[in-house]
Amino acid sequence: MKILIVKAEGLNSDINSFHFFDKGKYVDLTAEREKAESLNNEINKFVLKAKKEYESLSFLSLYRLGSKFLLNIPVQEKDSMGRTTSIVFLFKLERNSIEEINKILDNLQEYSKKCKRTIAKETIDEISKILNSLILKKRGKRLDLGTSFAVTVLSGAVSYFIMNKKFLSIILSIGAGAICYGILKVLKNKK
Amino acid sequence: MIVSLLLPYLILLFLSYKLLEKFQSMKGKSILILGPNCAGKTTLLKYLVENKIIKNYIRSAIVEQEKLKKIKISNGIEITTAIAMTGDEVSIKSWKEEIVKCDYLIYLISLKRIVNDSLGIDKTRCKEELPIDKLENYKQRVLSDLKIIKEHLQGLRKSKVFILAFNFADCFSFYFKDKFEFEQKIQRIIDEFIIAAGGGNIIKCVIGSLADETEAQKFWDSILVKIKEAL
Repeated sequence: MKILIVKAEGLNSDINSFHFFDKGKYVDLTAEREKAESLNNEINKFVLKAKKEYESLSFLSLYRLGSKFLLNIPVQEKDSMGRTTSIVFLFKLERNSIEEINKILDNLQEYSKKCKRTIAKETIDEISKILNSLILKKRGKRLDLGTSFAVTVLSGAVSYFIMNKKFLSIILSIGAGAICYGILKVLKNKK
Repeated sequence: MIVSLLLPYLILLFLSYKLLEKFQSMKGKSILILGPNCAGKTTLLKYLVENKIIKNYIRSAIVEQEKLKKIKISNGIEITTAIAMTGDEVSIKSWKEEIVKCDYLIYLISLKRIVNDSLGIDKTRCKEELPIDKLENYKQRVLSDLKIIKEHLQGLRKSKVFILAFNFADCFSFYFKDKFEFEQKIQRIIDEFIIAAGGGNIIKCVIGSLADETEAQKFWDSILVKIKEAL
């Protein structure tokens, strides 16, 4: 697990009320404004490319692109207009394990403290739930793909053995694999 | 046997469907919503998606992108995507790429922050107290943004529709009494922004409010009229 970028939204229009971390290193906005701007650009590019996996009414949202994730977390601090502000985390998951998720949750709290922001306990619980279900979903998808692949290979071999026609067996096996994947997906959605 | 005979046709059907889908998406246009903080970018974006005005506000820390239920502009042209960039100063540099990509550009400005009290701010609707120095800072920020956008647009081969949308007109009681006269009265103030953005030949101007669903629909309809005029 790697925390790539952290951005804490400013509480007013003053540039110093923003906080940025680049791979764990604090970015001093008065001295390295361009760096902060490029990090911000990176966040925006990521969001535009990524898939929105989750969004709650409390404005907590999660985006995913491959093994990279972006969490936009509302914090308790309000801006000068009385609006809820948020803290953004861009991170990479390497093993998709429960330990990794726990490590992320610890990091979120640690970085928010460094940025002088407070994430509510309920929000942390919600994040834990979302990340856990996402990883389970990912594992399930891998299992479905594996099963469908096995069905493809098996049906291909059996049909070739029976008909002794290469092209037909390939087509049949692909069809069988696709049907198997479809059935597994429908069954999962029903659950 | 029947399955194996039908499969190539099914694959062909699927591929043609995908091709048709791609062709259809080519005529879909995108709008980009820009502006300083608190101008109503997220409110407009959410209104376009849900037809509802959100009452729960959050200061956007990330860019927001939404797929729209096709908004017809003219024959064969529809708006299908809307993007609202963040309004903080560290985000301005990331605007360029999206300005280049979008088809229609809307820059939202808060009227209550650029028009002085002489037009009678309705204190029941606009509770926010704005000191003069903050108003001046806001004006300078907007002028600087418009200059930047103008520069980005100049280098482009394809011309884009650029609309200055003045929001929060509902904060002025005079707006509801006589909209036409209200627009006449603030014209001089608005002109300064139009000039900064490149002049009346390039810029289209809209005044309105996102106070509720009715006002928001009127506001959006006026924006659409200006887009159609520009095409």
